[in-house]
This record gives sequence, C-alpha cells and structure tokens, in this order.
Amino acid sequence: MSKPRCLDPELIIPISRGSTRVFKTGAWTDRQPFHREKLSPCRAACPVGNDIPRALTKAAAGDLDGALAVFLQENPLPGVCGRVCLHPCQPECNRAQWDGTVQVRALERAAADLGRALPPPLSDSGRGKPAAVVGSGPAGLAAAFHLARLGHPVDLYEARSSLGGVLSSAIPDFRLPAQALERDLERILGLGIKVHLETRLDRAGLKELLESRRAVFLALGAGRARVPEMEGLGLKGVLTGLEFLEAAKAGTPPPVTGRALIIGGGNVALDAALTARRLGAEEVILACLESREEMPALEEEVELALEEGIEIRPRLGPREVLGREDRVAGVRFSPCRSVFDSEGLFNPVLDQGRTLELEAGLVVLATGQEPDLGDLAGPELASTPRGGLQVVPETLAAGMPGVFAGGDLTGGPGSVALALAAGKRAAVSIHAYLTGRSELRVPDPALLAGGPGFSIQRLFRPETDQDLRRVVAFQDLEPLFLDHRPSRPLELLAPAERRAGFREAALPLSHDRAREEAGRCFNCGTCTGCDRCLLFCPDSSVRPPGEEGQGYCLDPDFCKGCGVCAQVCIRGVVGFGEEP
Amino acid sequence: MEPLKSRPPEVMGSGHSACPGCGAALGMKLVLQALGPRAVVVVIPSCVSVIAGPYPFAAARVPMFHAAFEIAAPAAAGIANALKVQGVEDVPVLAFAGDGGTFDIGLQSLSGAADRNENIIYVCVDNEGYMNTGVQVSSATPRFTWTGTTPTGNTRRKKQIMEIMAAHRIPYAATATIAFPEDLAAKVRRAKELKGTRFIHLLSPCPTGWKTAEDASPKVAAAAVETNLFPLYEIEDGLKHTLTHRSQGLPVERYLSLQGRYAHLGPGEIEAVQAEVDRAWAELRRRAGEPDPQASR
Amino acid sequence: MRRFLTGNQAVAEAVRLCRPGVVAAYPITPQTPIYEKLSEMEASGELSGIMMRTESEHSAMAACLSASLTGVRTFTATSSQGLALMHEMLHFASGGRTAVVMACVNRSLALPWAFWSDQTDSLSQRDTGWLQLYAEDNQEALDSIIQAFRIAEEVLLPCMVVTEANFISHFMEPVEVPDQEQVDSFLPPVSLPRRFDLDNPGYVGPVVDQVQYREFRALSQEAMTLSLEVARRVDRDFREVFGRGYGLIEAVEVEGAELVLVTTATITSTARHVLKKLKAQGRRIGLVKIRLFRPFPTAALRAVLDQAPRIAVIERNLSLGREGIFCSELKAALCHSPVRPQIQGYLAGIGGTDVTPEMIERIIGHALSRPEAGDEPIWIREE
Repeated sequence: MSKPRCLDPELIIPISRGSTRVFKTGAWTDRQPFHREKLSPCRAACPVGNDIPRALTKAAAGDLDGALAVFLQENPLPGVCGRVCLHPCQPECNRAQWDGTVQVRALERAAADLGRALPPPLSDSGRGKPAAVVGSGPAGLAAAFHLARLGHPVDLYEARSSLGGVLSSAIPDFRLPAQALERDLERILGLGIKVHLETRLDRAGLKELLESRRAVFLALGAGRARVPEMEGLGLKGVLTGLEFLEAAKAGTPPPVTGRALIIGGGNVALDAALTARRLGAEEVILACLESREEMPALEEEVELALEEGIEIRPRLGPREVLGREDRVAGVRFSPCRSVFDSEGLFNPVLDQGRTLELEAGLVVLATGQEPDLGDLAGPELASTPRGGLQVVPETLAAGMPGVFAGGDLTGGPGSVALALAAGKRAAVSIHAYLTGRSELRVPDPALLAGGPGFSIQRLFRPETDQDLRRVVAFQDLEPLFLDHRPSRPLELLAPAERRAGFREAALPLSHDRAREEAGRCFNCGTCTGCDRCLLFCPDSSVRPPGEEGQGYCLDPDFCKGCGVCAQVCIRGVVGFGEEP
Repeated sequence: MEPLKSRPPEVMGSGHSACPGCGAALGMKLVLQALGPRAVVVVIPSCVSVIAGPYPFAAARVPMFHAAFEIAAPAAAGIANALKVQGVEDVPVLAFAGDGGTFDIGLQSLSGAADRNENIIYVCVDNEGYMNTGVQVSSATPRFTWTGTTPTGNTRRKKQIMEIMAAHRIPYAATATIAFPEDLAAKVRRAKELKGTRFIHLLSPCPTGWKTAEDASPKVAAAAVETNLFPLYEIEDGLKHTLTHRSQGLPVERYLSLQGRYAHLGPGEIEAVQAEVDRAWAELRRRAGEPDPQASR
Repeated sequence: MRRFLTGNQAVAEAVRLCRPGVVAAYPITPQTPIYEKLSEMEASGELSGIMMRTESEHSAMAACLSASLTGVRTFTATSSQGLALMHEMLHFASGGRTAVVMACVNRSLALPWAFWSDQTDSLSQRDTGWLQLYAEDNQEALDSIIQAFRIAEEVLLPCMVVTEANFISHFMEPVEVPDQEQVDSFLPPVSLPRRFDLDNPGYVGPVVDQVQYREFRALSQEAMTLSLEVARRVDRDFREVFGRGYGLIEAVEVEGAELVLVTTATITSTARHVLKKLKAQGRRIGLVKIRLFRPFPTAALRAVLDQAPRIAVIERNLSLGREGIFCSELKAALCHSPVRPQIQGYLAGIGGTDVTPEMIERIIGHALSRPEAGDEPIWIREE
C-alpha cells in the first residue's frame, strides 16, 4: 500500500537535491579575468634568455634534473655560467625589492652540478646542411650547440689544444674549475659536433670552409691585450692580464715574490690579483683609473678580494713602468681625475703634475682586450672603429655571404652571457640561411621584452602562448601575500683557505639548500600550478589544467568577474585587461 | 607535460548567489573541502544558508540542515548524538554560524554545547556584522566601524570570542581566515581528528559590508593577520596557546585603509586601534610563551 | 506491575519503556522530577540512548528536533515558561515533520509568578502544529506517552502529552506500569526517515517560495487530519494489548441530557464524581471529556454534541481578551449544528485554584438557570 502524499518523506519537507549549477552566474558580468603567462624581469635581463622561473619551479620541487633541462633549452654552459656569469638577472629580481634577490647564479650552478639532463633537440630540418664554427669560446660553443640541436652537422674549429677559449685557458680554477667546464662540454659534444683542435683559421682557410660548408660562424674572441702606451712594457715581470692568467692556469706562472701590482679595474684584473696572491705574492695592490664605485668588476667579487687582503688603490693612472736592469721594479702613476668624457667615451684625464711610485716585482696590465682579426680583415670583412668585426646586429651576418660573427670578436665590452646570446642568435640566423626559411632570420616572435635576448625554445618548440612582451614588475605583486624569507648568505671557503691555493672558492649549494633557495623565487609570470586561483575562487569557477594540455581557465558560465583569482595570483599570471 | 595533479572532487560548486568576491562563500568552500563529503553540516539563517541554495537546488554535495538562527550548536549536537545512537562514529557534524548567530543570539546555546563538550565542530563565519539583512552592527563588529546601524562608527568593542570559548576549556579552538587556506584546512583536519567541542573563528571579509573592491577579500584578510589585528593561533583545552603564523607586524593602517567602512577614521582613532592591537598581541604572545621582542633592548 | 507513582514518575517510566534515542531537557518546576528520574535511570543504565542536559528549553527542543530528523526517537519535558521559550522551536519541529514527543506539565505563565496548574501554557501553543493529548490521571499520562510515540512516528508530526501541575505531576496514584515486552510489541523499533543521508545528500530546509510554502503547509494539514484516524486506531490497538483505552474524546451519559459539561484533564475526574451524585438524584447531566485537542476532534464532538441543548465548558485557562480556549474551539466546531446548543464558558481553576464538586454543582445550576448562554465567560470563584 503506497503512502499518502502527506506522509511521503521525500515530499513533506523541502530537501534540495538539485545543483545550483543551473544558475549561470557568469551572466552577472561581461568582464572576466583570464590566465596567461608573462615574462619575468630576470629573464628579460638575461642575455641568454634562460627561462629562470620555470627552471626554479622545478628546483623548488627538488627536481634538479628538470631544472637543468630547462636551462639547457637556452644555455649550453650552465655549469660555467653558474660560476662566472655577471648575473644581470639578480639585480632585476623582483624579490630584490622584497627581502633580497634570489641566488639565481648559484642555483644554475646547482642544477648543472647535481642535475642530469640532455640538451633537448629542436628540429631536424637542419639535417644535411652542414655549418662551421670557428672558435670554441662561449659564442662558438653556443652556436655549435644550437645548430646541432637544429639538426645541422657542425664542425667546430679551435686554434688551441682544448675547447673553451678563455673558459679553459684563462679563468682561474678558483672561479671555474676544469671539471665544471668539462661537464658542460661533455653535454655539448654529446650532440655529435665534430671538433678540430689546434686548427687556426686564416683568410684562405675561410674561403675553403665557405666552399664546403656554405655557412661559417666566426667566434674568435678578443685575444689581443689593449695596454696604454708607455715606457717599460718590455721589462721582465710585466705581463698582460690574459698572459698572466693563462700562464697560471697552464701551470707555468712567472715567478711571484714580494709585491704584485695589478693594473685595471675589471674582473680580469681582479682575477689576476687573486691569482697573484695565491702564487705567493706577499702583497697585492690593484690600481685602477676608476673610483671604487666606478670599477667595472662585480662589487661582490671586490669585497671578497678585500677579505683576502688585496689592496685597492682607485683613481690611479699608470704613466711608466719602472725597471732595474731588465726587470720590472715598479710603476709610476698619476692621479686620475676622470675616466669617461662628457660623451661617455673612454678618455681618462690624469693629473700630470702629480706622481706616485709603487714598487713591485710583478706588474700585470689587465686593461682590456680587443679582437685580433689577423689577416681576415679586409674590404669584405670590415671592422668597427673599436676594432671588432662589423656585423648586422639582428642577424650577425658579416660582409661576406655565408659568414657570420659574434661574441667578443664583434666588439665589447663582452661577457660570457652576451657571447652565448650571440652564438644562439647566429645559430638561428645560419639555420634560416641554410634552410631558406627567411622568416626565421630574426627571432622576433621569440624576443624577450623586445630583445635582444630571445628564446630559441619558443621559436622552434612553442608549448604555451606565454606573452613574452609583458614583464611582471614588483608593483604587479601583492606584498600582503608574500612571505619573508631572506636568503641565507652563499657559503665560501674562508679567506685564509681561499688564499692558500686554487680550490674553488664558492662552495656548492646542497640539494636541500638549493631547494630552499629556489623556493624563494616568485616565479614571476610563470604558472607553477600552485592552484591558488582555483583555491580562492568563491564560485569554484576556475577549471584546472586539463588532459589536452590546456592551462587553467575560467568557466564563463559561472565566473562572476570578481577578480579574486587575479588578486591572489602571486606570479601575475591571472589578470584582467588586454585581449588574451 | 606535467602529470595531472590529483585533486579531490569539489564539495561546493558553482551557481550560488553569493556576491562576487564573497569571503564567506570562499570560507565555506574551503572548510567543506577540508571536511570532505562524509559529514553532516548545519547552517543557520545567514549569508551561508542562502548561498547553500534555494529549493530545490543545493550548492554543496554534503548532507546539510538549515536550522534556526540561534541553534547552530544544539542542532549540531542533537545530530551528533543521534548519529552516535545509530552507531555512526566516523561522520563529523559541523555547524556554520555567522558572527550574529555566534556572538549574539547564539552565544547562550553555543556556551551550553561547549560546556557539555558536545561532539561538534563549530565554525563561526565572522564578517563582523549582520550582512545577510543589510549591514547591521553585531557584537563582533570592531570599534569605530561604520555599519547601517552605527552610521557614525561603532562605540562598542569586538567581543573576544576566542577567550570566551577558551574559558569553556574545550579541547580545541582556533582562529583562521580565508587568506591562508592551507592553515585553515590544517585546522579543519586537526579538528576532525579530535572529539568534543571544536571551535574555529573564521574571519571572512565581506566586500559589500566592509566597502571594499570585489577582489579584495583575500588581501584584506591577509592584512588583518599581518597587522596582528587577527592573529592566527590555536588554543588547546582552553589554556595552551600556539601561534600558527609568523606575521609581518605591519601597522594597522595597512588593514584599515583597504576598507570604506573605516574611511571616516581620524589619526586619533587609528592610534587607538593600533594601541589595542599592540596590547592584545603582546598578551597573546605572552600566553603562547613567545619571547618578548622588547626584551633584548 | 502495579505501583504507587506520581504523574511525573509515571511519565518517566513510560519514557524508559519506549527506548528513546536522545532525551534533551532543562529543569523547571513542576517538571523536574521527570528530568531527575530520567537522569537516575540513565545513571543506572536503565535508560537507553543519550541524555542531553541542555542550558535552556529552547536548546532542548532544538536538539530533539535535530536528533529526530537524524532518525532517532526523541523526548523532552517542560512546563510554562520553558514551553513558552520553546515556542519558536515548536513551529520548527512541526514544520520539519519530526516525531518529537514531549511531556508538558501545565503551569501558570508569568507574570505574575505562580507554580500551580493552569492550561494556558500548552493551549497557547495550539497553533504550532503539534498534536496535543490532555491526560486526566497518572495512568492516562503514562499510557498516552506510549501512544504518543507511535502516533508521532506514524504521522511524522510531534506530539505533546499534557498533564497538570500538582494534581497529576506530584500526586501519587496506583498506576499499572506495563512490562517491556508488552511495550515492545506495541511500539516497534524506531524507523524514521534519516534526513542526513551520506549516499544521497540533500540540503534539508532551504528557502522556498510562497506557493511551495503553501503546499507544504497543506501537506501538514492533511497529515493532521490523518492523525485523527491514526490516533483512534493506536488507542484501539493499545486497548487490545494493555486492556486500557481512552478514545479521542469520552462521552458520558450525553444522550437526552439537559446539560452537558465539557471538561478536560483533572476537572473531568471531579465532574464524574458530581455527575454520579446528581444521577442518583435523577438529574440528567452529561459529560464530554476532550482528550485529543489537536487535531481538534470536530466530527467526534459534533456526533455527541450536535443535539445537546445546553453545554457548559469548564476550563482552567483563558485567552485574554476572549474566553477559555476549549470553549472557543467547541463553539467553532458546533457553529454548523442544526440545533444551536447554548454554550456557556466557565473559568474555574485559573492559576491552579481548586475546582471543587461544589463549584461544579454551582456551574450546573447556573447553566440551567439561564435560557440563553452568554458570549462572555463566567468566572467561578470560591464562595
């Protein structure tokens, strides 16, 4: 017998069993936020175009293999850069305006040292289209690396007996140990690049290469020292910066006793000073034209040098190297009143009337380098006023068809990062040239914040529609959502230990420390899958990333356009505004 | 491609009638997600019960009961005891009540339930006023606040509900807010593991009543915590205080300046608010056994 | 087993026998012995289920109705101020179609303060949608509790059993306390709908619109109407099992009576005594006892009173501004009677004053002395 309606439990009191999803609250608004990745200021500043936020997302999860793989998408030398890069990314880090920059360089080193990954291939359309790279410094290595990733057979020519340019010949072991470079080189060579050591290029050789290879990238570097003209340069015990460093690295340093006098204010001078200290100089003085603040050397490196007892004498311009018989005895200086003129050109003004003499048993002139074109220079390969090879900046094409050039060869001031960037740009340019894909000649679609840095990975293997033109600034982040976790200072050997030899001065980050430090990265502009947008939506209207690879998106049926998701996205990925 | 993260199914869904950016809806969602669908939830007349859905629709996939205004606690207790009689021991009963239903009209019945140590989780969704009926003052409304019934600023202070609950010596009481969802979820999960009366004071900003932008609720809640105006902490057995968040110690102005309901405040009033916050924060730290930051001076 | 018990004790025994799941209560004179007796039973393990010693009657009813919705058998007891405090919850319990059973001990409502029997407290809750049974003596109180659980659980409406302060609550009488097996055979284990179903979750009690509200009310009214028949049937079943029955009303010697008294509760006992005496004198006075007040047994009353020439309603309550409530309800029920009975209301025993046999005789005399009844109630006081 069926129950009367007035006793039917389901009918007698209201019980909602349907879902409020019948109400399409998305109709409440016509303005809904959207999810789109953007650029981080660190990546915008990195000439190499490293996808730092993405790499650090992996590192923060303890995945150093993954972090390394991300670095290798743009950078063949993460172990090197992790030690010697001037880290232009770090001052731009948004966290620098909060509680201290993220130690990006140290993290790149940790990924290179502790992670294992292979360089990801980009394309095989370069197959059967060989190219040549001359010079195996960072520019040449980068060009070879990326060309190989694009499928090209590559021949790499190096005048010396080992690869790496100054990386292997001059940068001291306490800054860049040989094994670190080796690790990076092994990965690069694993791409099948053919290496020709002890092969120097001249004009005739170049013509030959062009016939067989059609495209040649010249990355000869800046091998000639630039020294001020003065008396006494031929005395024994007077060396240029590179000469000194190379000799030390080769194990055949000149005798170093008493006082060593290093002239120059850049990183080479600083390395020379530190090397002299380790080789036994009782006293090391570094004298430079610049004031302390103007010194081009990295400030943090100068601090470390001072810790080791190096004395800095700023604002001194060398007038004459003094000798006793055929050996150096010291240098006469005049105070330098200014280094650059009103147009910003290098034009030091010395106070000629006053002099100062400093005794020394070793004088190292680390006053700059310039390219040595040898017999390559000529009407087809013009040089710039400063002595570098002239090229079209966007394509790195030189005067002769099929010849490209980059790095210190085309002018300075240079750096490892800028050289790597040049090698990458050349690789794309050469790839376009050899495959006839003129639309790739310049990597504009992949430029980072308008360039010149660009992402080669994005050019050939785009995975997201990240907006590479918009940079997430610190003002775009909500400080109320940021935690306070200042960095723990990077560890170094104690000054006494450092001075005692050529052991690597910077101690490595452990897995845990790397993870901790990488966790400080705000990942500006990069979606890390943190789910905050999803979590904070009062209307459960944020759809998580799906199986078809689509990212987070807002459900237009239900999103009320409140903007909470944009507010809580601490990476600046979700926002209102421009058309996605 | 990243492996897909496994996410538990959502308990609270879309299509409900909360104002855009509603802090209470977000709080409700976060609590229900941490609670899980194996639970019984009591709601009372408040924004929450309206958000829960009009007949015959429901916003949440969990058995829910719309009780009367002042009976969140005894209703939940009745259900909990009935389930126990039925031999069901592993289904938590949770009551949502607003600040009105907790600090004012429901205080007596909450006190009774706490005194009996009824086996319920009680979450006070505090938006500092009667917001479902407009914007009227409650005893959870802080001093100086504009509401529809205190148009020149509230003269009463906010009741110290945590102290009141602690005085009942219940096993667990905690503050939480929507800006710190992991902290909130951890506290709900902690509460689930315990028996007896468990109380969570959940600060849930209301853009409509607090006169903020629609997207501001998480930011305002974060500011409340980071200025020490609403510290995050737990009290066990009414005596043991534990801070659960290290705050930035920002000046209260960072919080007040975000809200139109404080737009009329002058420097004297802001100072008064700061002084009270400082006093209460120092007292809380003392109870939590935190070292005195002034001591080293 | 025959025992000498107060009405309160009898109620407590009945509750124990019915195996409640949740009992929630708050003390108030003259209910407290029920509460205390149940607490003793809980302590000794005799009482099943869980006892909640709430901090107010309002919370007690809140807990009971919620427990009932969960699907267990629930009970509470109160009086006067406590019942008034529960008012909001009484509506809630009825609208929620729960099966809460409550013992209400009539007591005067303040102000002024007084602690003796007056029915205004329970009667002023007549609109809350609860079934109401008025007990005449301790045995009926006990029996009605047992019947109440069965009726409530069948019609899904809450039911209160009303007794009088002092006269029932605290007076001792011989009472037959049934044994557990008998009660179990009469009152099966609870099988109420379990509203909080994890496998089929729903939101119980959402906001409805005007039309929906109306229709839910219409269903409750239908259930009320149905409960007349259910109450009758349950009482019959009870008689079969326990040998005692009470009906919805009881008519005594109404046929051909020149005057019929209408009473409830303990006044009925006194009236029976007076009628016996007058019958011996050859007087033809009838008596109708109203036991079930909600739902109002209109048909049953019309069946016995439609033809009565005069009716005197004697009651211990007053709706200020009108008259005694039983009188008003009876007048409304009989307004379509073909013979217009003259119905006069008499207020006797307000505030717990004694209603003596002499007063009842005076009432009879008064009622018969006037050709027409008046609209206003007559106050009966001690001489």
